[in-house]
Amino acid sequence: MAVAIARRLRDGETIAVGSVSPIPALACLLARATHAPAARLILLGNPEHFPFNGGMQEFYNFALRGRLDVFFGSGAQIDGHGNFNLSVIGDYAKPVVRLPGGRAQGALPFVVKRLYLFRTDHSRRVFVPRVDFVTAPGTSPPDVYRPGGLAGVVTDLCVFDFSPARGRLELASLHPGVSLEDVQAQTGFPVHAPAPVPPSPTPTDRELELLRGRVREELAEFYPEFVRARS
Amino acid sequence: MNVPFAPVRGLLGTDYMTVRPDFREMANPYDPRERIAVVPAIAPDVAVFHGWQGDRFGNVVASAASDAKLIAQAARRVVATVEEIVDGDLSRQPVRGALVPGIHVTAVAPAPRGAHPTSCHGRYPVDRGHLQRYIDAARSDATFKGYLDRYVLGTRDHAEYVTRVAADGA
Repeated sequence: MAVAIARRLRDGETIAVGSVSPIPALACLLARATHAPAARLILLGNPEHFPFNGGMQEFYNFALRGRLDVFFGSGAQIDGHGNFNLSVIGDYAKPVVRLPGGRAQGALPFVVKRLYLFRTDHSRRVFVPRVDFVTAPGTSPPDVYRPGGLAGVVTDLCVFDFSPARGRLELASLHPGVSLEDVQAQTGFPVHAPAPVPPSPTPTDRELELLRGRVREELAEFYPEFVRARS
Repeated sequence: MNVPFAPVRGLLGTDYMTVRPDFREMANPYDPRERIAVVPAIAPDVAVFHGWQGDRFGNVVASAASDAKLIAQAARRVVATVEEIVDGDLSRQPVRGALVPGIHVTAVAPAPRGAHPTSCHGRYPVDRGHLQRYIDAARSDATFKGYLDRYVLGTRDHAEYVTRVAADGA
């Protein structure tokens, strides 16, 4: 997953990662150690990688001005039209689970050039026909300011690209050992796929060496539990 | 700023516009081709935040990653708890972090470990064991009442809270 995300990041970009996003953070560090040495990383919740001194207000102002190239989110529910829910499961007034997505994801998906969602548990519980609550819509009509938006979804099975023109998620690649049927079985909406579906990129020796060495040590500075759990 | 509402580029097409009837939509008066969301101002009666240092003039130094200075300017009354009260005048010395000038601040109280169980950057990390204790307790009213009795209602002051947390461990 980290390699699939890293390959989508470009040199010189400004990339922000939320405070509970170890895999995107790993991808950013990997990209910076390989093809994107001039990428600027903003790791929310980590003062060493937070270039502002005016609080989250300054970060949001920066993002709302369109200065963020890439941001990441999770998405408790995601549908085939690129709508996602990071707000509430069940009824809003009497929720089964209340989630924190409204703060960032009610506005940033409109202005960040490329938003990537990631899930480590691709299932029908996540990929639903219709989200319980739209935290951010996949597409917006022309009279809504929307320079940015969803670019793709990376899961433990595959990568989807989002097509704003067609307003839908489209299968971009399958991870090793995963078939289109596997993805469809775990997805609650019809999967649009090219034929044949390309394989997801496999890590190079250099990437593996970095993921097991220097990049891993960098990640451990701000996600110690995540790294320890995989020792 | 004392403005009654603010335009937001976002929110339109989300269900926040449905569940929050006070979030409205209008035509951008400067470009009627754009629809834009507007949200009402939040005018808190009281803002409470935790900082690293405070002085007897009410100046507070907090993490520059926090929104302490923002909320201090939004609220009518502002209460800061701090890790330590220092001698001298924080507004007349170089500071690392965000200086919230005393003119915004109603009261400063010393409260070492006052951010617990969350972290205070540079001082102490998140207490994950205690947070888990809170999460477990919050699953039912009865267990949550037990938590409140032990750590909040049943402690004389913040110092006793800190002592009790330490005694209970993770």
